[in-house]
Amino acid sequence: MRELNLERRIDFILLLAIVLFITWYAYDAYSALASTENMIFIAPIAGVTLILCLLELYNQLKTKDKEEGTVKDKFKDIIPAIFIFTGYILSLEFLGFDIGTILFVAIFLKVHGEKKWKNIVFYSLLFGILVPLFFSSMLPYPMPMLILPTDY
Amino acid sequence: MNPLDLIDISAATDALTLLFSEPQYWLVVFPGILIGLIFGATPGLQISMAMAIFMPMTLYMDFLQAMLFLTAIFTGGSFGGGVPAILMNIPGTSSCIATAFDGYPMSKQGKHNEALGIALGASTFGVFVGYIILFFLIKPISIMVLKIGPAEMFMVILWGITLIASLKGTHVLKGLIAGFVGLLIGTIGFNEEGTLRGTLGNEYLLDGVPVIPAMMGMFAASELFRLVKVSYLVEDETLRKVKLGKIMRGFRSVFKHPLILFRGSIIGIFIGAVPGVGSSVSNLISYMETKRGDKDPDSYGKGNPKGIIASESANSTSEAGSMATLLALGIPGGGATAVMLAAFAMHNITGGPQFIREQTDIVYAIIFANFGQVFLLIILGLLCIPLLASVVKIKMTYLIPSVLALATLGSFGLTGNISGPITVLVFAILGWFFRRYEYSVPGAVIGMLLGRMAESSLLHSYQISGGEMSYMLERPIALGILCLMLLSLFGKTLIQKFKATRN
Repeated sequence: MRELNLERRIDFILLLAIVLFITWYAYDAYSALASTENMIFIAPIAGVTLILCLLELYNQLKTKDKEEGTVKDKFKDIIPAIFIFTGYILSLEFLGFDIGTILFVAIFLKVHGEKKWKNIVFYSLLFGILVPLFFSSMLPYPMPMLILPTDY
Repeated sequence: MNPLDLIDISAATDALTLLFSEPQYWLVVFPGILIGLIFGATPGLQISMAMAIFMPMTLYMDFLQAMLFLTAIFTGGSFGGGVPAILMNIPGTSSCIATAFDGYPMSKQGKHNEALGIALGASTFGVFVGYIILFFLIKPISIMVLKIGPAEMFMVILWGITLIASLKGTHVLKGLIAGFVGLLIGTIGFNEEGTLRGTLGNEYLLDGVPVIPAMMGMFAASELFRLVKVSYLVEDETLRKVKLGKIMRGFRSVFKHPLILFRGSIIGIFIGAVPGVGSSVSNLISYMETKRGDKDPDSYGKGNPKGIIASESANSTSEAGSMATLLALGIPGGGATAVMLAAFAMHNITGGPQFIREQTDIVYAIIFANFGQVFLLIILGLLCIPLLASVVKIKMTYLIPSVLALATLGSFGLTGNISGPITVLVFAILGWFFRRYEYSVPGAVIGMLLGRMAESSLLHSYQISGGEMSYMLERPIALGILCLMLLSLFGKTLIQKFKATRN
């Protein structure tokens, strides 16, 4: 096998992850109940997808390395945004949608270049209070909140 | 057959008299459209949610007024859902997926005014034509829907899925892989027989992966991650202006493409009438048929206005299609018509052949009122678009966290628990990898949307046929759909080959 550059390695790992998911899912479904009714759709779709993955693997090995700079977005640019968003989602149950949203917006603004503290505080407070309030008044069930009124 | 034979003229006259006898019928239409626009344009808020929230108000209305109010929300929402699809690449509903394909690239090129005008023009035209077809063909459509069984449903879904292959000219293999992975994800959870698959013991997955939050994650959040280093959605400052003239130009330009409009409308009403599948597939089929028939198919997905026209004309007409099944058979085609069915029950009315026969004037009044709603939607849409289009003037540093938070709140609104926001996160990351390595994100989303239904339809066909799968090819409508699918996939190539041979 030819040596792969980083982009192609990740592409290959993604394909491998897809293959693993399909195999695991088909096995899990089969283990749950090995009947025609249960597998009538999953088995053929999983089989066809695995064949397509093999063809794609052949394609990947056949094609040349991706040139530097062909992909616009870089990992180092994206990772902070993903981390902040992950922190926001995972903290929602104990920080609530009010404080969670205020902190998420404020941190995101600061990390992504907003220099004026006044703007950060004003916008994050305004957005983090008004929007969760709007949603909580519209939705038929309570939302987790730390300060704003809720029945959660 | 004379088309007038399909209409009950005296009921139509009664309907007009009823509608214009009291202004109260029209008073509810304006707030209805506005509510639909707001809910449709807000990521995470659904038309069905708006209808459910405001349905208790209809208790104080008579049946016709209640229907006008709810259909006004439906009409407003059908256009509203396209607004975030165009401006932020977040389809407000699954029926606006194809709108984002060309709408969002147009926005990025600074043609957001035109794109929104086109969407409004195609939407209003779609609703208008849809209800005209409904007016003439409500009885034939209801007969057709009664003949649609699981085999036909499966064929329609298969048609939708095969479109995945051609969504992107290049990377067809990756497109298919993404679509089939989406199909498998769509079957996670309990199946119809009560067997649990692929949940890893997670109770939130018992009913399957929440599809709309997954769609929001894959389409919107993953795209926003890619834009963190961009200052504005439209980089060129001169192109960021919101101009009513350009919106109007976009609106008018729609009518230069009557063939696309009519094709979208016909596809919309007939596919829209198929319960459950309806508008989610009709916009894609219309989009793909337009792309396939165009002289420059490569320009689609890069900001071709015809893509928006095809999608919006089909998804708006689907409203009339789903109303046909509701009124004629009492079968709701989706969430919005399910709420309407509840409103029927609140007023002690049962939809179906008897309802159409005995209350034809009410049915016609609903149809006529929707013609009026079209004009109100044009006025309200033109008033609201300049405000909505101002999104392009917001710095991405502010827009990205705001939209991500909106998607998170909206996903919570859809599931009622934290599984919605977590789904957005997981599929945002997956969507980002898919985009980066050129797997089809729309393909995966369509697969997820249709996976469960495809499995059920195939299973029902298997059970009905007693294990003889050839049964599917014995059904004339299923066979017809299969032929259409094959024709749409290979027709152009065959014609080209035929021409080449003749030459």
